[in-house]
Amino acid sequence: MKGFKTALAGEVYREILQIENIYFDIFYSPIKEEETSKVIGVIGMAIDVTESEKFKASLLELDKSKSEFIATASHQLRSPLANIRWGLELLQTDPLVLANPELQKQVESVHESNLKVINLVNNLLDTSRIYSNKLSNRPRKIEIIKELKDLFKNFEREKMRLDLEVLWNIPDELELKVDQNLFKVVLTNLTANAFKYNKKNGAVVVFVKEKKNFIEISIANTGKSIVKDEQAHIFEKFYRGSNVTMEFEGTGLGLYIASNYMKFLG
Amino acid sequence: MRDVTDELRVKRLLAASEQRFRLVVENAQAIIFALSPDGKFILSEGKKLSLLGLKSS
Repeated sequence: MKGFKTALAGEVYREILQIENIYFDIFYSPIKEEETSKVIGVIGMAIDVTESEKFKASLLELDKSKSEFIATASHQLRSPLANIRWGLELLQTDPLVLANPELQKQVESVHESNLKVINLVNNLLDTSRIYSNKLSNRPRKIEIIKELKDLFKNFEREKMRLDLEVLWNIPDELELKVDQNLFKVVLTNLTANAFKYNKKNGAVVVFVKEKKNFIEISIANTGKSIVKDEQAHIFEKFYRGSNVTMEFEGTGLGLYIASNYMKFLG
Repeated sequence: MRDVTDELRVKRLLAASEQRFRLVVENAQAIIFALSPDGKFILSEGKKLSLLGLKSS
């Protein structure tokens, strides 16, 4: 009915219509009188697209199963990984380990790998939440500056690794009403990139400023910049810059998650 | 007596033209239809009408 009405109003319209088990791709166009351009009827063409529609439906179904699998798998991996982390952190303080530099190095290395896997699993879980529309937005007042300072404590290791300096250009206090969990993921992913893609003796610059209708937060670094032509792609899933070398392990999911969460938060 | 050569030629051309369009429309692997402004079907053609158990009108 909409197609007919739209065409009668002089516009072309296209729709997929299911009649019983058959799908039609239907085009409606106005028939116009040559001299006056008055619409005197509607002409339409229907093409049988049952095969491709069924194919599309099966792909969507597969995609859904894949997302569910990733969600379940990453969720199930989280608690054993947390257990391993806890155990390793306990080992790091064990007198036997502390007395043996070689063992200490090994434990440290396993701990680092464990953290990488935890990070990867978290990324997968965050991504699957975007896929399955399972994000929930529960805004409440948070103190951003405190949030940022706490967050940066988690990056001490990265900071030491490259001898980085963190420069704060921030007010003393600033409140924002936002979903704390989602916002934290966004800030974490941005901060992680700022630390990861940095250079020796570089800096991470945190800038927070209250504007008229919003709060500007910028987390900048002194690393290699993203190639200009590629900047439009950085929020795409699995996208990684062409100048990112093998030494930087990563999934290409961090900014994808951050931008999707921000969209979700509005 | 009247010379109808031109008249016949035009008629033949029109018939050939109609035949050509009919051939296209009737054999299209689709449904081609036209509706009047009050929503009545004034034409429905094409091989795929059979999918709906219909025949060309």
